[in-house]
Amino acid sequence: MSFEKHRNILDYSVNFLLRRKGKNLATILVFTLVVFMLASVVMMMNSLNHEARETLSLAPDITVQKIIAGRQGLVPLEYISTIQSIRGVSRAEPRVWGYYYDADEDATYTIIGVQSLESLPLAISEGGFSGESAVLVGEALARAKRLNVGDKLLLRDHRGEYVKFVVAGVFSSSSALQSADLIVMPQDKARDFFGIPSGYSNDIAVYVANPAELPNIAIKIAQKLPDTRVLTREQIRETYDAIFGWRSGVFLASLLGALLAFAILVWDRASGLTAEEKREIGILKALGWSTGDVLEMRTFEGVVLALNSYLLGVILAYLHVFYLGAPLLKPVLLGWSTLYPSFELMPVVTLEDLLLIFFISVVPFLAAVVVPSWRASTIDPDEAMRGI
Amino acid sequence: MIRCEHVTKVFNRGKPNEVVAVRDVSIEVNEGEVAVLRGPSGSGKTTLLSLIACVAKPTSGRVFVAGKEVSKLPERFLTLFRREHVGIIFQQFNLIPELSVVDNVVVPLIPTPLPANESRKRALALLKNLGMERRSDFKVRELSGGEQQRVAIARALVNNPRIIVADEPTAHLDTALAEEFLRIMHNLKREGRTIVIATHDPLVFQHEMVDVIFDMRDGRLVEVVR
Amino acid sequence: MILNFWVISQIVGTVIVLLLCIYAASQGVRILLRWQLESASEEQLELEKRTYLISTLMQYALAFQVLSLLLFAATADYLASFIRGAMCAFGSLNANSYGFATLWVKIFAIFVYSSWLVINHLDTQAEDYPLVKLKYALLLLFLPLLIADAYLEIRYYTSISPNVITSCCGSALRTETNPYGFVAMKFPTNVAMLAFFIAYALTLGLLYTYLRRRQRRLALASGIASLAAFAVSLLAMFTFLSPYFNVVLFGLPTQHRCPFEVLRAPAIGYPFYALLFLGGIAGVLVAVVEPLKAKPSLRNSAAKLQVQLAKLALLGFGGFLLISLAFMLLFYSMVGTVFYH
Repeated sequence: MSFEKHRNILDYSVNFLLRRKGKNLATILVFTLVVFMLASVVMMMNSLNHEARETLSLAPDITVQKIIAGRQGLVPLEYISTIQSIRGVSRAEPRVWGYYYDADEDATYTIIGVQSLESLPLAISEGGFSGESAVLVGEALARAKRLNVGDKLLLRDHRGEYVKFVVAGVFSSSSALQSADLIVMPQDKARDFFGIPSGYSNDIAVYVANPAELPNIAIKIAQKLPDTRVLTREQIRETYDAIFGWRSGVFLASLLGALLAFAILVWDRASGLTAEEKREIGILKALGWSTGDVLEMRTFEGVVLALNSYLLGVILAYLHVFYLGAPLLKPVLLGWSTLYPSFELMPVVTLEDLLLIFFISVVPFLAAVVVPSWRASTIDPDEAMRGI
Repeated sequence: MIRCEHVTKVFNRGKPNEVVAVRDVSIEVNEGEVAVLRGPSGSGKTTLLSLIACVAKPTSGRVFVAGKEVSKLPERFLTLFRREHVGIIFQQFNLIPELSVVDNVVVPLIPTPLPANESRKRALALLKNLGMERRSDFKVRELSGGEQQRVAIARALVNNPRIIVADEPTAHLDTALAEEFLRIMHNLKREGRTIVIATHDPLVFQHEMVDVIFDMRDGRLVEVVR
Repeated sequence: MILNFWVISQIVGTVIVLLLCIYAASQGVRILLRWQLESASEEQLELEKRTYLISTLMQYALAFQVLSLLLFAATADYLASFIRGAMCAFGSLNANSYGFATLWVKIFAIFVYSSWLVINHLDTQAEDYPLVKLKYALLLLFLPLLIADAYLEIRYYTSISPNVITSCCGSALRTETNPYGFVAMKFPTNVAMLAFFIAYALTLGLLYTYLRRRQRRLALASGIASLAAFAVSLLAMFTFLSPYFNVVLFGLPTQHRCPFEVLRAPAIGYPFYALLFLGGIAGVLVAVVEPLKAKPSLRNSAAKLQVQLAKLALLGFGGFLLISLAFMLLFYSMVGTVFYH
């Protein structure tokens, strides 16, 4: 059990690999590609999942929408008192919000009208909320339009007239998904901006004291207000989960296919030793290398190949997903655009993700090469002697 | 130092291509002696040499090297034993052509706890003794036949073995180089090492340093000349 | 049934380990039946070559099993967001009766692999391979364990129903809504605390005395004590010990007795558990190696190894204890008391 011995063998196996650049480059290329694909998917799924959870954590316990002729309409504010009369409801608030298309930037913003800032659990990095025409803007929006606190922001309202706002604060980037393209203004101002008649709102956010009673309360609301659609947070979550489950199923099918192709390639590579390699291993064995030493060398070769490809693949995937916005996966994931109009991925990579990617790429590779490596190491030393 | 008792080596036993390479051979070589296994090609001398060198195990019979019965050792321990006690010079040198001279010489020391720079120092010292220090960073394939053999000798000596085994060492050398090789072997004998050479070259077996000649034919020992 | 990337890769990994071990065991059967050390036949040479393959396969299996355990914990953590009522890995594992069973089997398997590899290592130190029959017979005994591992794991994932509410480590907060809790959670904390310190005092003391005196009964006692200390440490993490970490690192309430939470600070969590496993495995092996010293060709190498193992066990348990005490102190400096109940 000596550290030096293993180091010597490791050195030799790196040398052995470097002397066969052409042959190994192909393997590294394919391996890197597979890791890249797997890592891209894992990183993106995780990032989307992370954002979805965050969205969900901001969602109210129950959302009440008015349904007119099967479509969503505006909710009269009288409904609020009806909802508040239900036992167990701690709070019910009207929500005014909508999308705003900015032709200059070719971007869509979300405008939310709030009664007070407390109902909006987002962190503000600078500035505050004061003044009649004050707005808070998301970090991405502020960056795109080069806005600082105190700057003016001109937006066209529903009449087509420009309305002047003053940027009073910017949301911090910690909750990027929700706040990136957000403009927050006083509720009456938003109502006026969108042309929503006073006494109405888009929907009603309901908060419940005891989560256990949530389903019952939802049923009661639906009974008392039959012309509404009542969405609980659980239902929204199930929608997410269904989409995640289905998407990952599609990926798994295609990726397992790719993995299989990869394993075959590996098998082919690892089992076919060239005459030269066989000769060299025979010499090593005649010169006092044991089967275990040669096996160790072959294993190191596999590990060095795998780790390099792994690192390379993971780095490329990171750049692909978080810097380029996953252009190669976007077509497959087009369905996401209904959930996230902006489709910006937050760089979220955890140790567990890296472990997962390792487990599904390096582990099958090493398992696949173990028998061929062993076979190569059992060449008889007297073959070198006999000149075979 | 080396004793073989009724040693037989059969390849592909029980198959149609069965070959009895060595048949019931008993020989003994004392410490510090130079022994020659003499015979035409196919006489079994290379096989007997591989048994003595602890590269292979006999099908039957016993082999003792340096006081240890190596014919009973499992492969793992046979290898450890060979690593410690035997240096081998192969017929075709068996160098690794893409490696430099010094890298070839250190190969036997790689699976040992010796640090790489120590191994290198040892290899360079040996190459210097053999007049090869100027060539140490050359690739093996850039060397002449005689130089290649000296690299092979350095490699066989790098583990400081008590026993040196050489298979047809002069087959690819002209007379001058063959004599040079024998001179080196003679020096090694003076250092007290035991040397076994398989050859049919008269230049070798007529050399003054040779203590004993074993004549082989068709796998059998036909005559011992002391 | 939950099917996603994490679950699939986990199952693929488990199946790979199982296949490696089945292959190794099938090779082992041949060796068990045909091994003749004295023979110089080609078959014996072939069998000897196969021993290298089996050793390597088992080394891989151990490495993969360790990764698999890490991934299992990570997957459970990930799944927490899909399972109702689960807030962390604890809740996920508690979602059905297979979760914790799988975890225990995986942990047990790591002990078994390590023991086998140590026996294998010793065996290859002696020219007569004195343990060949023993080790390949043991290999066959593993298979049921590995099959159980794979079975439980697959059953765990397939039985998870996202619609059934599970109780989590924080269920103490809401006992009236979640009456089903994990037994360890209800274990009296002061008893667990007492057991923890007694077990550590005993184990560290025995290991130290063993290193001084090298007696047979001390070696055996150290092994048993180490196993107990390992088990009590796990119990401690489920009861009184984890809140120190969870409060200091994440500011969670003291009722949050989740042993997995600390893994969310990987730089502390993983080394912390690694030390515990090091202590447990090395300590148990001190006793496992003891009877092997009876073989004359092994006496020296086994005795040497035993001492190294005992030192490693001291290092592992000592480190685990020190980190635990450090966090109790940090907790004390934040809260003003060590006892939070």
